[in-house]
Amino acid sequence: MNTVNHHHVIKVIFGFIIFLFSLALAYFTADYFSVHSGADKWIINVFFIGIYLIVGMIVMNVYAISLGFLFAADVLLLDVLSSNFYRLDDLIKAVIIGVILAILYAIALSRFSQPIAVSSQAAPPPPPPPPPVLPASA
Amino acid sequence: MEILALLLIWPFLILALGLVFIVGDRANDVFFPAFSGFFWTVLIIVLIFLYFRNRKNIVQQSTGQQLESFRKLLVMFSIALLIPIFIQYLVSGFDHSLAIIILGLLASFGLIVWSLAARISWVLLYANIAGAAFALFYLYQELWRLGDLARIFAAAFGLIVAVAIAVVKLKDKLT
Repeated sequence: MNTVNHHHVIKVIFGFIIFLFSLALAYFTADYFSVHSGADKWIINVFFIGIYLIVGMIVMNVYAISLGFLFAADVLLLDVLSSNFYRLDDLIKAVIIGVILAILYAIALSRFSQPIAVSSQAAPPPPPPPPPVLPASA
Repeated sequence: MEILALLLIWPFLILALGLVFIVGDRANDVFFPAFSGFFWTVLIIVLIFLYFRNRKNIVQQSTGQQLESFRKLLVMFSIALLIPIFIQYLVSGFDHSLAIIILGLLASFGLIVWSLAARISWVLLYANIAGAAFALFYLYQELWRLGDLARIFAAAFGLIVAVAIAVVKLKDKLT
């Protein structure tokens, strides 16, 4: 029991370290290139998002590493979206949200599709009362 | 493939939640322009209410069950907030055209009827009803701006849908 918990804690710590280092690598690289070559930070971040997604999917059997990369890609993508979302055309925003909604519906339909139980039938009738006990005749 | 799908669910749900927060301020401006922060205040109150209502169940659940409940809550929350924002961007993208507003009305009422009739799951039931209600609130505001004829159409359409739902859903209870 302790061994299992120990392994889980180690995996979480390593996943978290991978997450932090991959974020640091992406942001430091983006800073460096934006200062020295005038490149847009978000373009470099998009490049790292692609790499992290691919690496995260390739190493999916080692889920601590995989989740570290995937969550780093998540944070980078949210950063890119938050700084650029309002510049996009409304139709493109609608398409992005529509795609996210479609995937959410797919998850909900595949993972949480337990039919709602409806108690439309009436409750069963109560059992008949026991027959009265007749007094013993003398 | 199954492992990959399971692995991608959590990062995707966090991404969807992050997107909700990115577009949330816009939603507040659109739906409750007079009171900034109202949207988030109501949501936080609802979440606290849900937590205290289910506190006993949450404590009794195992870690896996708690994660499953949290995942359901994330999906419900994200769908409920992204539906009205999606409709709002769609209407805005098509320059507030009447056809898109009517399409939005049909889609919103359709979502409510589908969740009530199909009885798929509680997650989709609550998410669809809350999301479609917010979307209808916005679409009726848009229709109101379009003039008298649009208002008549909106009232008639809402009445027809309400009567249809009542006839289908409440027939057993009334007879």
